[in-house]
Amino acid sequence: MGWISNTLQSLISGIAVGSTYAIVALGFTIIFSSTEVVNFAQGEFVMIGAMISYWLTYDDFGLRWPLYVVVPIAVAVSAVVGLLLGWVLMRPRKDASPISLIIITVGASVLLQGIAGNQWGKDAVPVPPFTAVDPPPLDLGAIFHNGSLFPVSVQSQQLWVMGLMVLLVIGLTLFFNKTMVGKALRAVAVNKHGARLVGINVSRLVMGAFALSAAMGALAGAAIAPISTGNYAMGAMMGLKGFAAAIVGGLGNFTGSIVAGVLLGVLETCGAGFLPPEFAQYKDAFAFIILLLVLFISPNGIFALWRRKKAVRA
Amino acid sequence: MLKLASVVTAYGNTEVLHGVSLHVRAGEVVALVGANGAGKSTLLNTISGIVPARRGSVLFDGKEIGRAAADRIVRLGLSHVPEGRQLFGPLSVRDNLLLGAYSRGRADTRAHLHDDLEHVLDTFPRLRERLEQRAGTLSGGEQQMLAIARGLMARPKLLLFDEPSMGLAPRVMEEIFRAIGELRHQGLTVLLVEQNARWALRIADRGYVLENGRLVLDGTAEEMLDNREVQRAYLGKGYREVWE
Repeated sequence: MGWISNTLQSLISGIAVGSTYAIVALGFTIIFSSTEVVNFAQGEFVMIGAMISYWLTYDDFGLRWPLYVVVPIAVAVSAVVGLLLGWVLMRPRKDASPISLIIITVGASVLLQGIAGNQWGKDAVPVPPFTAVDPPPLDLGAIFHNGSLFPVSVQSQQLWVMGLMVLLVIGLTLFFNKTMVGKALRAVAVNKHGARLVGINVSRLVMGAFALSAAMGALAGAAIAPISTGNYAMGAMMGLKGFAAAIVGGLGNFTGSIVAGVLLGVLETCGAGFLPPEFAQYKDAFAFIILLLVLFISPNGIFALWRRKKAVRA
Repeated sequence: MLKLASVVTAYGNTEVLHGVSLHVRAGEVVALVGANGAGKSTLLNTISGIVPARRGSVLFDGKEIGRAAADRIVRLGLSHVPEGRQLFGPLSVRDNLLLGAYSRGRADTRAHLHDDLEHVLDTFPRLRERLEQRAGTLSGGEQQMLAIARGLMARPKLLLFDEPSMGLAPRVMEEIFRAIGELRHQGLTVLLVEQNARWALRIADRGYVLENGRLVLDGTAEEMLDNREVQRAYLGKGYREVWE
């Protein structure tokens, strides 16, 4: 019965990794819906979160701060970087097309990666998990009878990642539906002209959206790095996968981003688990094969088919 | 209350307003009449800060706002009910109204907001039934009411209306204009842009005629309604009716 165990194991690590893709995808979604800009620096926020967590916890640098101090700092630094990026993008706003702004985000991504490579070197670095103790191996079989049927071990960090994603989604839902600032941000996404007319300072709000998505990315980075290790260039892959998830979910679609992110993570790890070892390095290609398939079948994301039906009915 | 002096507005190299001067006194309803493309909407957009004035001055309550940001102008007490309504379609009617009060910030208490909400809902009872519905699902007339109500939630001193009757059935239009008349009795100052000049001049005290980015005529509403040139060009009377 080893394969059931393996599948469950892959499923859990897939959901954990997918949770970070989902968070990055949400970052893309928040920025895209309020600015029509795809922020290709989104992945770098994940890198910033991971690398600052590493930097401030390992004693090569004489610092050994506890994580409950370090993670908020990493998130705050990333939020400031996001704010700056938003500010830069809002400056030439007058008649800049989204395309030229997207190029600016690509530039910002290269710049941030360069700075990180200089500061922290090119090697993979360890980041400590939030809690040191892992829960005992979960055994579904033991629930039903006495034997050890499908033993699955879960790292505590995986639980952290999933838990953070759930909390973040709840928090964002409340923010966008219950607070005035959240509603104003939705108003900006729906109708910028109307938003200006009711007195919403659109560029300030957009800068806030950048800070928010940067903070989310950094949190995802600090949470996943203990599992995946940190690396100055990890942002590129993270950003691309989050972007794939955002597209598969239908760019600008909140629920779609979450579902597609988790799905992508699961397919990726399960795929890697079933592939013969000599193909293991193709794991990363999985996300993009799925992306291509979705774009062929339903160019507006996996929910577009269903939504079109609903639109006809309405 | 509002005073424009030689205002020039341009999009890129295309000048749309070539030196417009007009004024609106407190408590007045002023109609701005003109053909399509005369620059009426641009004039309103200049006043509300969506498009900055290139030259000239816009004084609102004695403050220069010609190049101020739109959100600051709303906070000063000037609300713009735009052409095409510009509602937030997927958001509920209630949220649209609350966002109308966004400029008032957190300084204003919930109780005040609630009172104002009740007040605009009394003015437009049809919105009360639709409070939790998405704004995008309302009928055209209801959307126009919502746009006006949203503008009122900012507690403006001066309200700019851009084509409130556009695309509405005559009966609904009547209702909208009755509401505008009511607002004026509550002491609101109104600058009204309207293609339907007859309706506009009927509720206005004074009027201006804008042609190709220049004001060519002004006077009291009665004078304008009697003016042959206005009758011919904007009230839909043919040459024959006017000249024979």
